[in-house]
Parts: sequence; structure tokens; C-alpha cells
Amino acid sequence: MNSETENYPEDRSLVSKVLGGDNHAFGIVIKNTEGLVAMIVFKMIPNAYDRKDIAQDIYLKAFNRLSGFRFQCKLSTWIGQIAYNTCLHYLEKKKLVLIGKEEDDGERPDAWYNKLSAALTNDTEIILFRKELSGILQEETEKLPAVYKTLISLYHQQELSYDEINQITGLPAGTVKNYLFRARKLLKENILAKYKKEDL
Amino acid sequence: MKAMHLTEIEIQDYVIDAKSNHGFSHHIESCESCKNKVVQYQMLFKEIKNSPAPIFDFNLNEAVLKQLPVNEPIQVKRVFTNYLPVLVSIILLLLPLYFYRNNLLSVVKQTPAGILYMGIIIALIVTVYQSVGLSKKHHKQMNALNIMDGLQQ
Repeated sequence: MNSETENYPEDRSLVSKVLGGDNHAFGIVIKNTEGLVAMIVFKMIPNAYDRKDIAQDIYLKAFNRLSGFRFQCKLSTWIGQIAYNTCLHYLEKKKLVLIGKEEDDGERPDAWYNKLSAALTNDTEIILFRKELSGILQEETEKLPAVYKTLISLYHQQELSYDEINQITGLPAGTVKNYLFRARKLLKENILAKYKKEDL
Repeated sequence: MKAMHLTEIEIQDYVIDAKSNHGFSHHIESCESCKNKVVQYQMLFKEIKNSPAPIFDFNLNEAVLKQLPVNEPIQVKRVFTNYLPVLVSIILLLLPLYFYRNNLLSVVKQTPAGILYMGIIIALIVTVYQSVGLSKKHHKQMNALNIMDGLQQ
């Protein structure tokens, strides 16, 4: 038993119970990791109907491969890795775009900031602005390539470290940082463009 | 203090890790354009963080648990399926050695000691050489499989 193994006593206990035939323990594993898996599946799989099958497939794979899990990372990270790879395989099979073409790098007008500055004078306006921004953000996030929106969600919503994202996606740390940078930039520019369009 | 405008990557780094001393603070305070970009990213990151987390519209736990084998210890099943072929192979190898042991012993006895030792040494060298080669090949194939597995899972 190495030092890494000792880092995850809860995972070890759960895995040992599942391997001993306790399916209820696997239910706890599902409960603990469902949020992360949902995040990956929703961001990568555009078809809502397929998500149901893919989510189940992920956990059945995890169950069947559990005896091979060596505690080199957290159990949730390992299941996240299975989720990411299952979704990736689905996208490749369906020939769907993983990373699309970049938009032009030209500077865009700061309509968003101007709108914010104007809105800051009034509380109601701020609430409306945030509601509007939230809606536009969701809309524009959905338009991002699958890998970009997954990385953004893993980093900013799940608050995973670069190392954990690297373990889940198998992408080198440098690539994760690079994709995250491009994804944020693209998202910001798309939101600014949307505001510009609305202003016209 | 930085005189030129910050690059997009510098602005992102500054917003993500505001506590670190990037040396950009003075420039950002005095530059309206960079300050705008910082505010944009701050708002963007805050909104992303506060976005509602997706949830499945069905009971995933129930759907998965229904498909699992009931109370079957996985380890016992795996040990049996993994090691049975190895055990059968060893038995199949040992059977002819057992049945022809007298013949083999007489062959060994009739062989001059020098040739016998030389044969053993050569066999050992070949075995070690082959084992190292096999081990290297195995590692290479496992690495390739891991990469493929990563893509195909």
C-alpha cells in the first residue's frame, strides 16, 4: 500500500464494500459523483435522449472496472475520467465537433462594460442586468465546442484543479490551460458580440 | 509597473489569481481599458460559478442499481476468470513432464556434464534476454492500450 492509497480512506472503504458485493455502497458512489458526471455529460452530449443511456453506461463501466482501480487519484476523478472518455467516444462516433474554429481576434467594443457602468446607478437595473447576463451566458456557453464548455465547467463550477482536470480528460496540463484560456476568451467575446448586436 | 496594455492571458491570470503579485495592479488601476477587461472577466467568472448545476431528470441511482448483479463479490469472480487459464496452462505443461520423467532423466544422465551445464547456461541467458524483451514489449503495448482505452471508453 503506497502513500497515495492512504490518502483516500473513504474511497477505499466504499470500493472494498462494492467489491464485496454490497450494491448499496455503489449507490453511495453514484450519489457522491453524480454532480460531476452530470456536469460532464450535459456539457459534452448535445442530445438529451442520449444522456440517459450514457450516464448509465458510465456507471456500469465504473462498476465493471472497479477491481482495477488502484487509488492513484480520487474515486470521483476516476469516474469523471470514465465519463469524459465515454462522452468523447460518443462524440467521435457521431463525428461531432470537439473543438471548433476560433473566432477572429479583433477587439470588440466594450458594450457589456458600458451597459454595466450605466446599470450600476440603480439596484433594479443591476438585478435585471445580471439576469440578462446569466441567460446570455448559458446560451453562449452552450454554443462553445464540447471540450471547451466541459473544461470551463470543471474549472469554474466544480472548482477542480488543473491536475484533476488533467487526470479526468487526459489532456496535458499545458493544453488544459491553453484550452481554458481560449474558451474564456471566446465566451467573453461572444457575449460582447451579443450585447453589441442587441445595442444596434 | 507595466506601461503597455495587458495581454488577454495576463488579464485572465490576474482575475483568477488576484492574490498573487503579478505586478499588474498599478497598471490596471490607471488604465481604463485594462480595468474594463478585468471587470468583464470578474463578472464572467462569477456568473459561471453561480450558474445552476445540471441534474439528470431521472433517478440515475435506481436505473444503475437495477442493472447490477445481485450481491456477487466482484473480486472472487475476477480472480477465478483471470487465473483459471494460467492454472490450466501450467497443468498442461507439467503433465508431459510427469509422464515422460523417466525418459527425460535418462537423457540428462547420458549427456556429458560440460554440455549439460553449457546448455543450462545458454538456456538461462536466452530466457533472461527473452524476458527483458517481452517485458519491454509488454510495457509498450500497455501504454498504447492505455492511450487507446482513453480514447475508446
